[in-house]
Amino acid sequence: MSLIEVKNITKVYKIKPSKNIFSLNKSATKVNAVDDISFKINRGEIIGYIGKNGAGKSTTIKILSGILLPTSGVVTVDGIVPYKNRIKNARKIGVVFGQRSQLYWDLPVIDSFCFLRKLYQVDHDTYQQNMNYFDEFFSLQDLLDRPVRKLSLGQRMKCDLCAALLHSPEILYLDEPTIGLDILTKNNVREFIKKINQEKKITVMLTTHDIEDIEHLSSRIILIDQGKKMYDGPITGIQKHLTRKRLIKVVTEKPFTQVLENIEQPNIKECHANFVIDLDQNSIPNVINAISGSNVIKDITVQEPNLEQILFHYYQQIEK
Amino acid sequence: MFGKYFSVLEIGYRQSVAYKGDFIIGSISTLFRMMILAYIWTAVYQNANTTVINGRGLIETITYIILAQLIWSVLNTNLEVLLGFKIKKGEITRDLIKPINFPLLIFLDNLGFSLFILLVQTMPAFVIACFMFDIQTPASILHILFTLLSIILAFFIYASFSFTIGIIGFWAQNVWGISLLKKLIFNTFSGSLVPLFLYPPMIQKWIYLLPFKEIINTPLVIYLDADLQMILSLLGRQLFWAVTFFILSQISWMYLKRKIEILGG
Ligand SMILES: Nc1ncnc2c1ncn2[C@@H]1O[C@H](COP(=O)(O)OP(=O)(O)O)[C@@H](O)[C@H]1O
Ligand SMILES: [Mg+2]
Repeated sequence: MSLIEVKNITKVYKIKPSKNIFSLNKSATKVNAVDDISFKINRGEIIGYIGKNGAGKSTTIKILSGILLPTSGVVTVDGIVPYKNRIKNARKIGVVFGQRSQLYWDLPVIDSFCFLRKLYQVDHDTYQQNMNYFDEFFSLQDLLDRPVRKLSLGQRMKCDLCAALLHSPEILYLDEPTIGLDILTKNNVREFIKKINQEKKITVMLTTHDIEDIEHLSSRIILIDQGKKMYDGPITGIQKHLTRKRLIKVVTEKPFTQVLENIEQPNIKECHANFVIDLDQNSIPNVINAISGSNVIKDITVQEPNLEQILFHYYQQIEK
Repeated sequence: MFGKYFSVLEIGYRQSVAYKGDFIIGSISTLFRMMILAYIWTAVYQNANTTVINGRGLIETITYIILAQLIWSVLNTNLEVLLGFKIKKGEITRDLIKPINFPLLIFLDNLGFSLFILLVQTMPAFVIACFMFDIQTPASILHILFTLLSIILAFFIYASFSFTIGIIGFWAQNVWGISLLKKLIFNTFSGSLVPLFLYPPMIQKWIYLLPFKEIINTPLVIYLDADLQMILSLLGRQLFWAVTFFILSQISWMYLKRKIEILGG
């Protein structure tokens, strides 16, 4: 049995018009935030749960952490149904909502940590070990005595991550953990997530719309759009599955004058040409042959487009 | 096991320390309220040309007034406003990912706040008031113990009531208005401003049927003189209201829980 099993969950939000004696039409609008989603996650995996804003990522995380009841479908996390047994489930999980800190705003960070230590009944040795482990990576020492409101976003996120891990949970849910962070901090946070996954065998599910998070962290992604699961599998899979495009950069001896067939967005400057080809309509040897017929290739690189380009392309396809 | 619950109380206390930098002002204003009320009632007794009103002498009235202020300033937290705020701002999600019963969390957090008010704000005011006015000493150790027990029940009643009110406010989308109404009612019918025994007997009869007197008047009547039989019957009534409001708060919690689970945090 998998650690997390999600079977056909649906979440419908009913939005009532605001209570007002003047607005008597009481028709509620319905939003299918999550629409018949199923997946399984095994112990030790890192799953990237991706989708645009409003795709249903946070709703899924809230159902998994036991805060929300699905409208239909079943979830089990390590044999527990989270929304039926919220407190038991809560001991096994750590949750970070990127936009919402669980630290106490006006108190020094250490106060929140001490609180969580007692709340989760973490024994002294485990607490010390965990703190040393976090400190080694993030140098928390300088931050602990500062009130949370005086931390930068990045510092706060690091502390929030550690707070969620203090009780050594088996599962870590991260809802947009890198939102708003600068590149260095983002990398730092990603490295940390990777490290705890590898060393502490914590199963991680992170939602994001930052493609780089996924590229750095997870080999498996679940892509959702408007509450529906669009893809579940390895990143390489989505790359092959969704686009068969290659970015080709060529440097030639003579200025580039040729017109090539079936090529999108050629970008030509003298002897340098960049273009994207679709492998279903064209092939790399074809292109090389076509160019070397009248010119000499000095250098050539073939790249897979990155995930961001792919998803952009993919979203456009959905909209059509 | 106990440490888990104590941690919530402690963080409630620590938060109040951080928020309430102005506890000196709070302390002074508590003292002022005690003084003003005591002077007013002294003047009433002097002008009435009598030593006893409705069976109570001046010292009893002043003792009542000052202790009522002490209890009220400790009980009178903004639990319902805090609760409404948590729901509205979605802060409740961060409480719901924790392995603890939510009403209990709110209750203990609030208790931490009350303890802070008691120790830092109200006690100093009370000690000074004790030097300024004649205050009746308790009749026996037993009276002190029963009074404390009664105050604990009072805290429980008031917190459960506020929790329920907070959720009604959320439902009515007007926590603030309902909170104001609540305070108005308690100020009138609990004994926090006017000792209940000074109301005309007709009105007293009605007030005694209501639960509001349980949080101030009941502990003070026990403190002032009640005999054992009366104490037990008063505590019995308090317990009845405590259980009633506990049930009401649980029902409203189930309603809120359902709402959050279905409507989202
Ligand atoms: N409490 C709520 N009430 C009504 N609609 C909601 C609520 N929370 C989210 N939604 C709607 O459900 C959809 C999914 O939201 P969400 O899960 O927050 O998406 P994401 O986290 O992927 O941005 C959105 O259309 C959003 O407007
Ligand atoms: Mg979200």
